[in-house]
Amino acid sequence: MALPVSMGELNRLGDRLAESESPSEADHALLASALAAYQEILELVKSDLQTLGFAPTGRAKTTKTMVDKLRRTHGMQLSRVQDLAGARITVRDFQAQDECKDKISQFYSGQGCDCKTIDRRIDPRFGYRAVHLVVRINGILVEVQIRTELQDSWAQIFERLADRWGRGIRYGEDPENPEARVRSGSFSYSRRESVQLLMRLSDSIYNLEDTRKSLEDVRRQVKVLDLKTAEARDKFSSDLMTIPFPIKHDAVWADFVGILNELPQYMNAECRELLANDKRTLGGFVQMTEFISAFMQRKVDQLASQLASSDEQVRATLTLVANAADEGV
Amino acid sequence: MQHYLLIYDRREGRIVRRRQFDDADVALAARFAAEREFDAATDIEIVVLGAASLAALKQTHARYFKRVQELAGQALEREAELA
Repeated sequence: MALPVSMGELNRLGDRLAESESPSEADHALLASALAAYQEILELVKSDLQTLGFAPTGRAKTTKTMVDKLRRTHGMQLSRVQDLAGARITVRDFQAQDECKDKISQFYSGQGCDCKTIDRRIDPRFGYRAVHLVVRINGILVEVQIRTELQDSWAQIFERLADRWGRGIRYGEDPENPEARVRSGSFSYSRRESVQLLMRLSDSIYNLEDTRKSLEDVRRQVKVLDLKTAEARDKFSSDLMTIPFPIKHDAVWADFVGILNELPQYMNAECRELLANDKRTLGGFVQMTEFISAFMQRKVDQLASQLASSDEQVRATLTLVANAADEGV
Repeated sequence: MQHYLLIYDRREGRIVRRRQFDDADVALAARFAAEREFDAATDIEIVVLGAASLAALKQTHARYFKRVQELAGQALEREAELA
């Protein structure tokens, strides 16, 4: 279904809604017919997402939040509001989030639809993190929000607080009554401090999820490298140290020396000796890969320790929030 | 796919009314009628959410159904599963 009005008419409707406290009957009817078109496209998108194996939910933007947005972003055209129709998917972690984004993006690109990715993981909006896809179908924009479970938890907590303390906190404003106290166990915070705490929680969650992904990536690499090294050792058996490394593959040798040289903090005497002697044998090459594998294992250990620290930080903050006692928020 | 009309009091943090529809258009019409009904109530949010089930909706739009403390508790459980 295409829009029942032109983009120009839709934008003029947006202008009138933003300016008027009580829209006319005609504008109410126009908005209803326009949103019906958005709703219909949203249903199609949700159906596509289900076919792709996801469990989406969705909503057409409420009239109040739409008018608020038009008023807040002076001059924004209604047709350019990307989340008039929005679907939401939650996934386990960064890896699943990337896979989900790629799958949906490829699907719509394959259908000839414009599909833009907005990655708010490293560029959060007032603490909000997610990956959004904006798909254009028949001229209508639909936003697909892909959140990890922890990003979603953060967003739900923050939205709920915004309901209670004023929606301005979602745009960087102070909460209403900013010095009011929030108790959590033996701690006491002002509302303003609580919002700052949640901003830090968003960063901690990002660090936690990012470290978790790095750790999984490195573990995967170590596994592949160990497998390949074992295969090489089996192939070349015991006389590895006497077989010269083929000159024609000097560039490969240089690549591995380059990798080792980038890891001076991990080098031991044996490794330094190998590099200093520069005796290019197949055995030496295998040794290099073993050194790299051992270094990567140390990287795994470092990341695991970093992950444990991030996890502790996130849990501590969430526990504070879980124990907070502020007028039933 | 089901469509849930929620009339939600933001300040109170509670759902004032909830209706379920099979048809998206009927749900949207009910939303516009509710917007008229609650026109003067500034803290009331009226939204139609589409989901396979109410349980799915409670997962992706938990803020309508759970308090902050419960949401944080749920996040702790999620993190424990991931760790």
